[in-house]
Amino acid sequence: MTELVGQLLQGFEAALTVSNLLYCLLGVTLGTLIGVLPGIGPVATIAMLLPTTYGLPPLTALIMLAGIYYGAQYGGSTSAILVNLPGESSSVVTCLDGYTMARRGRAGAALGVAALGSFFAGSVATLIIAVLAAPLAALALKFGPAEYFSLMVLGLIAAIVLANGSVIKAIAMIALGLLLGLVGTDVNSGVERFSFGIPELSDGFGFVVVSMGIFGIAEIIHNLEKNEQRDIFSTRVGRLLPSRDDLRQSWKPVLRGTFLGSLLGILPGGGAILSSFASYTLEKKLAKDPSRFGQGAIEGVAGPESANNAGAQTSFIPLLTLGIPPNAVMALMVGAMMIHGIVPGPQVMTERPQLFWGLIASMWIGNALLVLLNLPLIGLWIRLLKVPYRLLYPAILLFCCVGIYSVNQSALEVAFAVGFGLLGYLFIKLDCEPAPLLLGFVLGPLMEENLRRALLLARGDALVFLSRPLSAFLLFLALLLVLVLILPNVRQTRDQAFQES
Amino acid sequence: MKIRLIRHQDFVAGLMFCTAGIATAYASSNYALGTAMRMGPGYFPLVLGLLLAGLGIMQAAHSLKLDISSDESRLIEKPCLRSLSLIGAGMLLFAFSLSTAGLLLSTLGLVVISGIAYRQFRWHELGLLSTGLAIFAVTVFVYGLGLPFQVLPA
Repeated sequence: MTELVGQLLQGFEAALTVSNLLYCLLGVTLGTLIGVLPGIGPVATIAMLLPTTYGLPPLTALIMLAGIYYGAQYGGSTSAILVNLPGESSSVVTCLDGYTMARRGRAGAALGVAALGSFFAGSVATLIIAVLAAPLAALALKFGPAEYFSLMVLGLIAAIVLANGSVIKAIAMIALGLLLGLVGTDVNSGVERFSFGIPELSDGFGFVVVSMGIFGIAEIIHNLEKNEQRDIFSTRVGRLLPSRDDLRQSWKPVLRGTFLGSLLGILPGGGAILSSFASYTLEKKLAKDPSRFGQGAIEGVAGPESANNAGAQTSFIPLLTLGIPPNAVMALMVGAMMIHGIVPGPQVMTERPQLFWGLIASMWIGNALLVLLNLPLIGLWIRLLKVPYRLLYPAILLFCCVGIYSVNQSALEVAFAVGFGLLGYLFIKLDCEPAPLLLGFVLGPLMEENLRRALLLARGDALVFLSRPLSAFLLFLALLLVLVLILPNVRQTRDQAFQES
Repeated sequence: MKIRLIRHQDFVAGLMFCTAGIATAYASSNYALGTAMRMGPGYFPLVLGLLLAGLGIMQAAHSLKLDISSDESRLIEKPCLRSLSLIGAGMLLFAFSLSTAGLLLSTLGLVVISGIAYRQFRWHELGLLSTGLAIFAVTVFVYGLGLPFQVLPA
């Protein structure tokens, strides 16, 4: 316990320097901004800003990028409540009751509860990370190549369960992503694979190129064909601080949401979106009068908003302790860490304690900044929501282009990104969700390397994955997930959950 | 029925996965396969490519079921060639003109070309937006962040 306090103090010391605080503020502000604006999410933003963090010290860079992620969860709720448009996919359920509250003149209370609930959830989740990190990292140090391979299988299968739509498509997208990740020089033999003699491809496709193409550019092309319509909520926001009655009604949902979100966030493939859905369903089930939901029930805002923030935060746990990204944003964080020469995994905690605890401490600081920032700045966000998309998207494109170009000063990489943009647009048209592909892309080389190493150590005996207990356990969990996926009633609930969005 | 199928999301997706899988499997046959104990560079991609092709066939076959293939909502919507081509063209022009034309002109080009992708665009608005963004780009990226871009044509 005292050790934990000491480590956290060390973290705060590292995070509380002036420049780290400033970048944390910058990160959460940017995050809120893009969270408020529909059509641009944290994945695209982090990908865009990755190149600008080259010059920063690693801790500062990570603090800023992490701030963007959880800032986006806060911002997403603002536009959900005020405009009935989820700025972020995880705030889809907030629209249901949040917007109804706003139409009844209670926008302030909804925003206030969302912010306070998120702050509480963020603080608890930060503590959970701090407590769980050490034992998990110790466990991870026992991992050999076989265990790592099995863990990645588990993570990828979890990603399928949580992906939207057809299961076959999700598996195929993962396979496609794994293959894309293999482009470039094979580490074991030095052979260049699938690079077609193009020198820019000898290191494979850049992460920024793939993610920005498939998410950022494809999204813009897709948004342009829909006719945008925004109903700006123009009447006054009202009192921001929730009344005593509101608090009495919402403290239990906040607690439950925090717990649920923290749990679901840790699971590979989980994170913010699932957490908010699960919390909304739970609150509706527990309510004495479920018919109030959808009619402006404050529990329907408090629960999901706490859950998505908790889930966003605890999804750092698999990344920091095992080195495995549970979702697309965390996959980007891997990219960010690699740029600074840090290989994510259990050794980060022992080798770079300052970085590790500093990042954790900064999450709490960032959450505090968000509450202070968000409540007074609501007016500014409302005005921002009025900027039409036709003025916004050329600016977003400019950032994308500059971001990709400046990674290697290469025009060809921008051209690749355009190619991935077209591919991403095709995926949207074919109703294939791109997130599993990105996860596969990041894990591809890691998975191949661990598979080869495990089989080499076992002299080609594939049973090694079952004879080592930890690895067998992970594969068993994966099998369980597959079975759950095939069960008809689970499938129905899953389909329903996604239908509601 | 036939025409429907070609426009069906799941069927086309299946075809796409299948083609990609076969192409990869074929390409990986150029690399040494090795054995399960000492895998060559071709082993993992070959297995994955075959898996992908198999999944593609499953997906395409699944879409042939009557209730799915007759579902109108799963037909592919017409692609918006206007935004597709203009956004792509704008980005390519920006990328390949940057080193010679400089950031100022390249940004003007990117914003104007991609701006036309919006159907109800207005010329005067685009003019203002592109000028503003070009000045912003030079100030922030070159002078603010110190990125090594040329500002004016060489």
